[in-house]
Amino acid sequence: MSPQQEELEKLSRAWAARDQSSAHEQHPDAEELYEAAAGNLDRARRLEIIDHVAKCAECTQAWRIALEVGAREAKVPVTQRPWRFALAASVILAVGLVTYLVIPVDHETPQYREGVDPLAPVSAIGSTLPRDQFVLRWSAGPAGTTYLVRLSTADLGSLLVKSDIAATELVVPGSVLANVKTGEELLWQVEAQLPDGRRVVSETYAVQLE
Amino acid sequence: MQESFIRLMRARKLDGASDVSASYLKKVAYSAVIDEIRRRRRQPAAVSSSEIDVEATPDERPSTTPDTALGNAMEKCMQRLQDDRRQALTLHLLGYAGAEVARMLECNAKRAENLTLRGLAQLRECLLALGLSP
Repeated sequence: MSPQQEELEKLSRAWAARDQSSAHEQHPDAEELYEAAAGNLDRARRLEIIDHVAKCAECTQAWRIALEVGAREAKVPVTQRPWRFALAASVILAVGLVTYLVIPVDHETPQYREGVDPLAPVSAIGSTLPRDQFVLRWSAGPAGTTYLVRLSTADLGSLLVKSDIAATELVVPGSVLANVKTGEELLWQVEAQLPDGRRVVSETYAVQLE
Repeated sequence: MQESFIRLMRARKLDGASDVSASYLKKVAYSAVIDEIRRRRRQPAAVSSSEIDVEATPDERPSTTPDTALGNAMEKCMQRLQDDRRQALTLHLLGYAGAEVARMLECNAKRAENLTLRGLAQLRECLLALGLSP
């Protein structure tokens, strides 16, 4: 490593470690910080935010997180994917961030997963299910895999969490759906516990109650 | 995570679109996480009276690390720089390469490099004057 690189590394590390802030104005909101890091705001506002970051340790950290989660690439057009796939990826990202930042476990570099593991269960049902035959089905993992299923309403009220399922289907009792209106959309997800101990989570699927 | 989910669901309903880009959803999740971190930081830590050391004096507070002391001094020095040099150097310290700094400042690459190098030189001088060296 050249002396210049060493110096930059030391300065960047110190810059990130500072704990004093001389900023007196209000912090930019998180969405604006993300857009600024991506270079997507108008120049004047972007420079205002850079000036704020220069004197705010907290927003420096938030900016770095934006870069870590890929704000730099946000300016490049991305392929449109089904929203449920993106939803699952975003939730995984959020869980990773919260684990890294809020729960003080260790300070190793976090590894963020993009997309869904190829061994993750895939839905084997359509977009609707009748109330009296509400059976969730999914693809099988390697022999010895067990599954955990989460079912919730669209506003995330938990309806059912069932673990240690050996089969690749789950019959949802009518009592669980008693307060769900016909036509309402429900969300479900399967987590596979693989024989090697790894856990892989499916996308979040939506199913309408008939 | 719950908050992220709710925001994503609301965003989807508001947009009325069945497909939303992954980058958009990533930004929504990021915002929810940063807001939550900020909210937690602003919550006063609950400390019982038995945990408060009434004898402690300011001199007995834990000292800052060398990196933190250097970082705090850097912030003071950075505020003395010209705006454009400070902005270029800030981006440089955040990990942006020369071409990216130019794009963010909307200037050519040569100017971005000059601003960064001059800012860096001034920062070194200021730190040395404070008895610190990078």
